[in-house]
Amino acid sequence: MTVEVQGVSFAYGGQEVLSGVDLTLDEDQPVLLLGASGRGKTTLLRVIAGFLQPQRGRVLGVGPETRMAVLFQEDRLFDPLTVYKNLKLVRPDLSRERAGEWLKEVGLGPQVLDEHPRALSGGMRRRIALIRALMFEAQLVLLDEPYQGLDEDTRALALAATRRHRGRRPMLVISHEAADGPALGARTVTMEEICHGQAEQTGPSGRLPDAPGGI
Amino acid sequence: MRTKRALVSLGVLGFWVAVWAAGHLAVGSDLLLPAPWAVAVRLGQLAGTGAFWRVIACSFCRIMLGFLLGTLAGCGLGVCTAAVPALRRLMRLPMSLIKATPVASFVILALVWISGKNLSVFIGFLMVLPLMHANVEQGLLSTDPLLLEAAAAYRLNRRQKALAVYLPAVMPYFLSACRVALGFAWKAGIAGEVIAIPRDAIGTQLYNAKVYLETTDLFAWTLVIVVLSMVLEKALARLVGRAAERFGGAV
Repeated sequence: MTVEVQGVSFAYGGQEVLSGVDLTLDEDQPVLLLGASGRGKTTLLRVIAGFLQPQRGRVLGVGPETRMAVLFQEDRLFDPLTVYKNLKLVRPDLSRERAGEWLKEVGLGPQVLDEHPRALSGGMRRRIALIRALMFEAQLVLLDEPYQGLDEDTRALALAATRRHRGRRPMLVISHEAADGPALGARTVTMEEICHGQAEQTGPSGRLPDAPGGI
Repeated sequence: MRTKRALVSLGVLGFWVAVWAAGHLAVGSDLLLPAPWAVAVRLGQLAGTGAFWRVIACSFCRIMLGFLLGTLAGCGLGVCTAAVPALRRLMRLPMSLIKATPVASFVILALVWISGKNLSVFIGFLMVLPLMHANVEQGLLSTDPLLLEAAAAYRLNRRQKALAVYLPAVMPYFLSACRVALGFAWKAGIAGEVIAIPRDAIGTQLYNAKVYLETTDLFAWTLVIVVLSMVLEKALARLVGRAAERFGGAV
């Protein structure tokens, strides 16, 4: 499976965030996308996922039937359910033992399975959101800053888990750390390289007012 | 801590009973303001009869039936109006009318349509319906779009989506509506009984007490209403507390 982003442009209101973006995601190697805050990395991920429609250009290889695992910039875990139930939602055949093994891979103990996500720290939630994305039987994996807020050791564990469970499927990982590329065995690209138009910068905060979940 | 709180509550209750007793002594008439002890004795006499408990059970069942029917209809309607904007606009007017119309108007109108026996069911239903509808609709409309997006990405089916996204969003609204609606239904139901005077109803007992100038009975039955209302509220608060724990403590 290959995903082709061809000449995609996107604007929030009148403010263009993506301009003429070209990018290919294939099964052979994940892509690590680097870029400063506010350059439109999250917007690009949302366009690829189909949550936003580009004003120009197109995304080939992704349709309504494509099974996608998405790790959002916010964790978006279902707080009223326990961690185990959160994971079982995306993997109905998941046993407690197997779920415990997944948690162990990212440095979490099996006791976390019975916790509600709201009771966990940001770093723990992030890792649970990551394994939720990785365990989902998806054809395409889109991870938006999956290692954000993790310390060095847990970051290394999370990177290793990502690499181990990548599978033969296209994967896009958004990050601020160039070192994540070699750790993931990924091809590294920057927003500057793939953005062929002149997208506007969005100011020091890097956020647009009407951009859900960052831009 | 619990004992101290109970003692304080008992002290407060004692204070107001003393004020009541002082009022009775000042007025000096059982007809205008009966003594607390006279009301207690009368309540004891009433409680010793089977009719007393039958009256309470009948009123309770009718009003609770109205509450339950109103809750079911209000929730169903809330789901429909949240899902269909045209229906939302269509239902805005009747719901506002029901909310704005005085209970007495409904009672008199309802007496033309249905028997007095079932009136408190209908009144309870009418009090609860708009409240439940508005709250369930609002809860559903306030569902986090980001969670809906996540649910769509992970291909959650309808049942999973309802459990993981919609139910937690709507529960705080639903539970606070329950608290308010129960009190509404209870008071309006009794008021309806006072006008419709069905058999075996607390409202009818109040009406009879008024007609025969039995002020002590009036106080005794009012006390029954207050105690039942407090018990119901406590029971519901306990249920709400449990649900709040389950659904994120946002109640």
